[in-house]
Amino acid sequence: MRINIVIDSKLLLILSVGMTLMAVWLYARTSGGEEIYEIPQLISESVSCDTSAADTNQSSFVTFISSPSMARPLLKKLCENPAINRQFGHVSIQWSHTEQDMIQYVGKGLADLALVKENVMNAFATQSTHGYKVVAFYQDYATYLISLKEKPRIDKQYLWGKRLGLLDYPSSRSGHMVPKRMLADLEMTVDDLEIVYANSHYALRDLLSSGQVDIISSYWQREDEERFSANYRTPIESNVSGSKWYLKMETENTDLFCAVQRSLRDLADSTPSNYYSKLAVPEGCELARNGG
Amino acid sequence: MALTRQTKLALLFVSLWGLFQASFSSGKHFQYMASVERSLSNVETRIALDLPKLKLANPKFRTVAHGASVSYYLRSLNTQLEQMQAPVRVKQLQSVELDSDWDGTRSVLSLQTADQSIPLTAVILTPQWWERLTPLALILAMAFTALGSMVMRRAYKIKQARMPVVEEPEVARLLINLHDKTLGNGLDDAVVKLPNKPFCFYAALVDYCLQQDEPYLNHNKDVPEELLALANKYFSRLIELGHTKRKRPDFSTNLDKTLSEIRTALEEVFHDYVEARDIFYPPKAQGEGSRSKAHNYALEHIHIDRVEILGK
Repeated sequence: MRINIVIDSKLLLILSVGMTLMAVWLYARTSGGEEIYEIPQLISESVSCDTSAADTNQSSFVTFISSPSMARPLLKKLCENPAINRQFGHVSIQWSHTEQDMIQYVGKGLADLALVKENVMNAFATQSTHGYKVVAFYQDYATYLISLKEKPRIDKQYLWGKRLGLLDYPSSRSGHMVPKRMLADLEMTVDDLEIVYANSHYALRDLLSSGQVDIISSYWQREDEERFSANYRTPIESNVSGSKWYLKMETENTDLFCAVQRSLRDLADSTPSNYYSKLAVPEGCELARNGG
Repeated sequence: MALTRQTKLALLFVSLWGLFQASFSSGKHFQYMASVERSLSNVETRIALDLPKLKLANPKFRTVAHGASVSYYLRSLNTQLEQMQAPVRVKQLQSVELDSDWDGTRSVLSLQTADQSIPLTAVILTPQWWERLTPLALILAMAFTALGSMVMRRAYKIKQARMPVVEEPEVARLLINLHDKTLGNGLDDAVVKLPNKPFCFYAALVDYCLQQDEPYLNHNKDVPEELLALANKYFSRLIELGHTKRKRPDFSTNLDKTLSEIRTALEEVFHDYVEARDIFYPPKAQGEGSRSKAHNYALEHIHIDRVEILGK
């Protein structure tokens, strides 16, 4: 009997150790790793704020731009705008680099205010479909062929076989449409050169300075004089219209029109960008200035 | 080689500690592999969902990747992975590669869209060795060693209870019985009665030698006074016990005769117990000359545990 007790005790101890080993394994297997959940959204394409009428007004003033750099300053100006506070409960600034998104916002009238190139608005007849009207615009600019070591020539013989840097989105005028029109005028096709695409004017300049291309097509800004020579640029087209601010005017909302214009002028006055600080506005709002 | 109980417990503790630690490490390894798989799946899902918003190159439409924005996206993704303590980081997406020094193995995945196959390189971080250690193994080993010690102690007690009692073999003793003036061995019925003088002298000799650390009695010299006193004391005791009324004998004379009678009696008493006889037997003188003259007839090896004097 007593021997049985000893055997039982040892057996019980061994069984306990075995079960504890399994429990320890399970504990280690299941502990930790709970923090590995679904990764939340990482790409932010909007900022927003509530106006003073948020409690009673559910309508939203939607602005579309292509770059997030001016989003927060613009949001601040619009949210402080009295006319917007009277008419809307919410303001949002949406941005996207893709042309598809740009087309959706203006083509379907989703944006109340948009900074878009004129050719895109014309392509979708947005003035007649949704009443988009120019509320402010940036100055026209020239498109140049720019080279690193010589002044480019606009002739077939010179351009033949050259490595030409262009922007990869076809709605860009200085980076895509104007140079391609130039090639067509010269009865050349893209196959007669080596086209190297970049996705920004800054990237085009990097391609040129690193020697990966022979020529680029772009606008000229003051900062370019640090890297390139003004003597080594050739104008292709002089009056390329700058980007414009379009306000959707489905009604004669002149208060809103002038108020938005005022906010954009304030924004231009405070921006450090040389190009975006030179904002022009169409006439008409001086008489209504006190109303916004 | 028989192991001591402490050694057994130490081995048990070390073995248990190793077992529990190995079990934990194994579980942690499988948990790590599951985390890697889950993390890679989440990364693939996230990037697949964000593809339309990422400026990646698409040869079909002749668009190029925007390195800065894609790098920014990958860094945001890795920050999120780090917050989740995921064992994975994203090193490269298509042609955009982050500069990093993560310690781990690379794993190249492929995101298949309708237009192209987009390669994704992830780094599976090498786990730190200390992440697979746990104090729980030590605690459990200590607890089970304590339990094991209790079981061992209980088994030992039961074993001890079942063992037969082994009695020590009886050894012959010197039994001096004053009541009947006999010498016995305490084992059998062999007893020898002695006359008063040798009986009392021997009793005194035994008593004297028990009191001395290194008793020395030379038969060529006078019997020590202490020994004579003891002999007289024993004779007085015999008178008290009614064995005699005679005059007290002179224990200092005829020593050889007295010792001879004693030896004869001892030889008879310890006839079957030679080892005991040698202890209680007054040694005889060996040889002649100086060695004989220095002879010691004291009982040098006698011990109180083997002597019993009855009627003292």
